[in-house]
Amino acid sequence: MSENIKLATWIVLCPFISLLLIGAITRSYKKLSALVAILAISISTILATILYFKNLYGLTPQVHYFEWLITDYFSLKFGILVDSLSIGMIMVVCIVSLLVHIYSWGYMEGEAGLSRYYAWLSLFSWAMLVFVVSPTLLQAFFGWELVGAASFLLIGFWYYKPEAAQAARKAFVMTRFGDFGFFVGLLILLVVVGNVDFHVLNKLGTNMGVSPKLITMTALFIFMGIMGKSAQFPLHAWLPDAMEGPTPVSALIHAATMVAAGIYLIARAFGFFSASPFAMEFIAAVGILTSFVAATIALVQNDVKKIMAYSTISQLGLMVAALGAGGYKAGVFHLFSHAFFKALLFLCAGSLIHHFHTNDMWEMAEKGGVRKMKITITTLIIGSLALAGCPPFAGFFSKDAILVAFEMNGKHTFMYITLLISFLTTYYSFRMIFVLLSPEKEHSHSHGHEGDHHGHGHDSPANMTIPLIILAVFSVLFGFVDTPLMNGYFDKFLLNKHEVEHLHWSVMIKSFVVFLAGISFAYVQFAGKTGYREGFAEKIGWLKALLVNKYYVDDFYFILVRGLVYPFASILNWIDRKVINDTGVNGSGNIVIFSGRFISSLMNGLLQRYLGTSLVILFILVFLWQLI
Amino acid sequence: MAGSLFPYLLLSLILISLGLIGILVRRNLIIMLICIELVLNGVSINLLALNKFSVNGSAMGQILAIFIVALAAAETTIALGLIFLIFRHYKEIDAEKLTELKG
Repeated sequence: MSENIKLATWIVLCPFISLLLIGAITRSYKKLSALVAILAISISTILATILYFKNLYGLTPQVHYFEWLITDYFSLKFGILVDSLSIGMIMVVCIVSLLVHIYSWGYMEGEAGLSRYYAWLSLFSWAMLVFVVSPTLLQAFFGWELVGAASFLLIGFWYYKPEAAQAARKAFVMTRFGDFGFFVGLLILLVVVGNVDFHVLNKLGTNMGVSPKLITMTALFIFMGIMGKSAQFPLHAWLPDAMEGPTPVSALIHAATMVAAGIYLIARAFGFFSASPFAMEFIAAVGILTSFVAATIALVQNDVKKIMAYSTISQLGLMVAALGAGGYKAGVFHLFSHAFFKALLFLCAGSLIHHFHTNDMWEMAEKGGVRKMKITITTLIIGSLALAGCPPFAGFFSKDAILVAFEMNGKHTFMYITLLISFLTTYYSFRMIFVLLSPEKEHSHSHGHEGDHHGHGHDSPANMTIPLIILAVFSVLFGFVDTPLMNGYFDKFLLNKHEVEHLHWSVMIKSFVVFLAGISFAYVQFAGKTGYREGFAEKIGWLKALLVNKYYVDDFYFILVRGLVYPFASILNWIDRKVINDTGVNGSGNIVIFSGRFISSLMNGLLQRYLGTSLVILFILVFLWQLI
Repeated sequence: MAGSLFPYLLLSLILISLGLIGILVRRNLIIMLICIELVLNGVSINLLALNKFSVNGSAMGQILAIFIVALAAAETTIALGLIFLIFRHYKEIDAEKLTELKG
C-alpha cells in the first residue's frame, strides 16, 4: 500500500470508528458523543489536507483492492481509489462535514437525541467517503445506498413530527425508486461485462466489443439512480420536503454532498456515459429541464429553506446538464464551488431559523433584527452573490465554466437557457435578501414576542458563526483556482493539463449583465419596502398557480399512489392474508393438528381393538394380494 | 400315507379361529394368553401337515414346529411374568380396564 492509499483508508475509517464508539460507549453522554464525532471528522480533515498537499498538482490514479467475492465469472472487489477527482471530493466532503459538525454543536444544543444525531452524521460521512473513494461501481452502489439510509435517518431525526416522518419516507421511497434502475444497470453490467471497475467501464465504448445499444441502456438505467439521488425532474419532489430535517443536515446532505453524489458518479464514469451519445443528450436535457423547473418554483417560495432547496435542485440540474454536454471540468468545478456556497447559504438559513424560530422569510422580516445579525446576514449575502454568479465570487467562475462548456460543445440553446436560469437565480436569491433586509416597522415590537424581541441584538453563538465565516471565505476565493491568476490551477490538478486557458470574456460579460438585470429587478420590486409580497411571478394568475403547486408533480404522484399503488398493494395484501397466510401457512398447520387429533383418538388403549384392527387390515391385505 | 391333507388343515383352521376369537372376545389376560397358545398350536399342526404331504419330503415344517414349541414356551413365561406384574401393579387383569396408553 502506498502512502496515499493509507491516508485515504484512514480518512474513510475515522468517521466509522466514531460511529462505533458513539453506538457502543458514549451514547448516553451527549456532549462526549459530539466531541467524538467532531474529533473523528477533524482527523479525517487533517489527513485529507495532508493527502491533498502531497498531491498538489494531481497524480496518476492509484488503486488498492480488497478482494471480496471471487468466482469464475466475475470477482467483486472493494477498494480505495485515489486520483485527482476523489481527492478533490474528499476535501469538499471533509471540510463541509467538519464545519457542519461544529455548527451543529451550537444549532442542536439541548437536543435530546444529540448522540443519535452525531452517530448518524458520522455514518453519513463514512458512507459518503466510501462512495467517493470507490474504484468499482458495486462499492459505489453500497456507499450510495448507505448515504441514502443516513439521509433517511437524519431527515426523520425529529421522527415524532408527522411531517418529518413523512418527508423521510418520501425521500427514501423516491430515491429507492431511482436506485432500482441503478441496480438493474449494475446487474446488467455484471452479467455482460463481468467487471464493474470504473477504469474498465470507462473504456467500454472503445474496444471491449460491447454493443452501443447495451451501453445506452445501462447508462440510462444508472442515470435513473442519479435522477433519484441528485433530485432531477421528475424525481426531485423529495428534496424540498427533506428540509424537515435539521438545517445543518440539509446543508451537509441535501446541498453539498449527498445530492452531489449523482454528479460525482457521472464524472467518475464519464467515459462510460460519453460512450453513448444518446444517453448524454438525454442527461443534458433532463439536467436543463430540472434546472429551469426548479428555478421557477423557487420564485414563489416563502420558506428560506425551501428557496434554497429549489435552488439546489436547479444548480444540480445545471451540473448534470454540463456533464451531459461533455463539460467534465465544468460540472466538477461547479460541484465543488456549489458545495461551499450552498452549505454556507443553508447554515446562514439555519442561523436565522435558530434565532427567529420560524422558516418564513416574511415573518423574519416582520420580527425584525435581521440587520443586527451582522455575521449571518453578511455571509448570507456573500453566499447569495456566489450563487447568483456575481464576479468575483466562486459561483461566477464555475457557472462561467458551464456556459463555456455549452458554447464549446455547440449547445447554444442550452447556454441561453442557462443565462435565463441565472437571471431567475439572481432574482429569487435577492428577493430573499431584500425581504429579509426590509426596514423594520416602528411598532413591530408592540405585539407578541416581547421578551424574544429584546434579545435580537445579538448574533448566533461563535460555534455557528465561525463555520459561516470559513465557508464565506471559500465562497469568495474558490473561484480563482480556475483563472489565469492561479495559472489555471484547477485544470492542472484535475486534468493534468498544463496550458493556461484564457478567460472567455464574451461569456463573462453576458453572465454579468444577466446578474445585474436579476439583482436590479429584485431591487426594484422588493428593496426598501415592508411587507410587499408580490413579485412578478405572483402577479400572473395562472403562472402563480402553476408555480405554487410546483407544476403539480406532487399531485401527480399523489394520484398515482392513491389510484394505482394503493389498490394494487391492497390486492397483494389480501392475497397475502387470505391465500398465503390463512390457507397456506395456517392451513397446513391446521391439517397437521386435525389429523393428529384424529389419529390420537384411535389410540384408546383397548388391546382387543388394536388386535381386531390389525387382523381386519391383515385380511384385507391378504385379500388384495390374492387379487393381484 | 393314509388320509388326505384336508382334515389336518380343517383342524388347524378351527384351532386358529378359536384362538383368534378368544383373543378378541375374552377380556381376561390369562385366557387371552391361552388363546394365543391355541393359535400357535394350530399353526404347528398346519406346518406339520403341509410338511407331511409335501412332494419333496423335506423336514422344514417339522423344524419350524419345534421352533414354535420353544418360542411358545419362552413367550408364555414372559407373558405370564408381565401379567403377574400388571396384576401386582393394578390389581387387575382385565384388558378393558388397562387403558393407560390411551392417546
